[in-house]
Amino acid sequence: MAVSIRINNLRIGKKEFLERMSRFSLTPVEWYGQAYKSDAESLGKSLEYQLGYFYIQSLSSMVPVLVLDPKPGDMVLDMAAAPGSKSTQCAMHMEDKGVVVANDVSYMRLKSLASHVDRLGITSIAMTNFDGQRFPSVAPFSKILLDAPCSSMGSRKNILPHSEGRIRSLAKLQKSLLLRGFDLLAPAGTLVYSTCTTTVEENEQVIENLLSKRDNAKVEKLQLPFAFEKGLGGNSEVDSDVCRFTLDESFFIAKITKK
Amino acid sequence: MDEDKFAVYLKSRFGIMLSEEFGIEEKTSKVYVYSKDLEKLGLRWVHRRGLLAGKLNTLFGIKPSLDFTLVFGHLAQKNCAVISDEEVAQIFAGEDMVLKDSSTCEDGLVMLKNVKGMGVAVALNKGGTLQSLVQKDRQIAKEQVF
Ligand SMILES: C[S@@+](CC[C@H](N)C(=O)[O-])C[C@H]1O[C@@H](n2cnc3c(N)ncnc32)[C@H](O)[C@@H]1O
Repeated sequence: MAVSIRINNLRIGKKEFLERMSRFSLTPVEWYGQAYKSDAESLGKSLEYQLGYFYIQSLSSMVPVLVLDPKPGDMVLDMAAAPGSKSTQCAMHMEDKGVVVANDVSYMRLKSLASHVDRLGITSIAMTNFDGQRFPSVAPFSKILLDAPCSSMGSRKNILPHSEGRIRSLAKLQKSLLLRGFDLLAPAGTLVYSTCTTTVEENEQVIENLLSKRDNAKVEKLQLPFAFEKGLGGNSEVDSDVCRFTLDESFFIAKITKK
Repeated sequence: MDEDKFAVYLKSRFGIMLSEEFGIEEKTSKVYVYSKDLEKLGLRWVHRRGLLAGKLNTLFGIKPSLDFTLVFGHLAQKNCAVISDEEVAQIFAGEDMVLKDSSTCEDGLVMLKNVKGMGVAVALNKGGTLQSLVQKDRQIAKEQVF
């Protein structure tokens, strides 16, 4: 199975990385200069991996941070962060300058996040262990990512079917997390909501719920640099602005700003 | 304070002084180096800031972590040695190696740099033999290297 990776630009320049990794025949990803694909299964066992030169991550999972577009000096909250693919990606886009708060409710899962932060040599990530629904009010965040816990129906790893009850309870949690995230966002700030699932309840309906409860929330029209579909929730205002796509996994993304 | 112990140790053993951009903090004998940008965050309950930079009470006393060495090892001015790419592979395979110019390093912990001057690992110098301290879960088979 093909693997995709993201170069750790904090550690190594692209030219040197490609020279060192020439034995793996990496193929560039057209829409993301930091990403490469490879058929080599041993990438994770290489010296370069242990030296923190790259991170293994599915291509679809790289997209939410591209949409969030964090910049050096930003104050970013990743509300459901473990194992840290997107928090570490944010820190790289920010050149390790600014603040990334990587939060997760699971203490156990924070351990794997910590090991990635260490291996990639990132100093600008603070890890917190709150239920995101009750994340405390601090200085408002300019950018927030909510890569929500979901039924993972679009994920390569998903094997279990989910009951309607489970999806309902996930949707309730997602709505509550999104409302809290929006309230923590600075005026004119950007929040990206993403899932790796396909149900309307966990995607479009979560966004509709936010719009019905917060007048100052706006869904921004998204365009992606590869084939994607619009929403399927039946509310044309939301559907025309959000995106569903399948690269190696199926994802849903919405970009929300605070007026 | 214990974080000061780490800074003093880095300076005296390796000649490393971190720039003002970084803070050091200690929690249960582990030391973390973090970007001072994180001090802007007015949050009390932080689980951890920055990267695990070392441990205070190991068999060798204070020991900088592999990841600290990868980020800051290039700053080492003493008790450090430059090793070839083949030797980097050897150290990551958990093997010992001979220190070429043993007069430059005291016995005890030594920071290893690659030919480009970047930190790559910490090793234990015992009279000119360098013992790899790369922990088991970070070691790699030598044939994975080239
Ligand atoms: C889809 S995963 C996140 C993946 C992560 N963003 C990444 O890219 O590596 C969802 C995460 O949400 C966390 N989670 C579940 N409920 C939560 C809550 N109430 N508050 C914060 N995190 C929660 C889970 O522990 C899990 O780690």
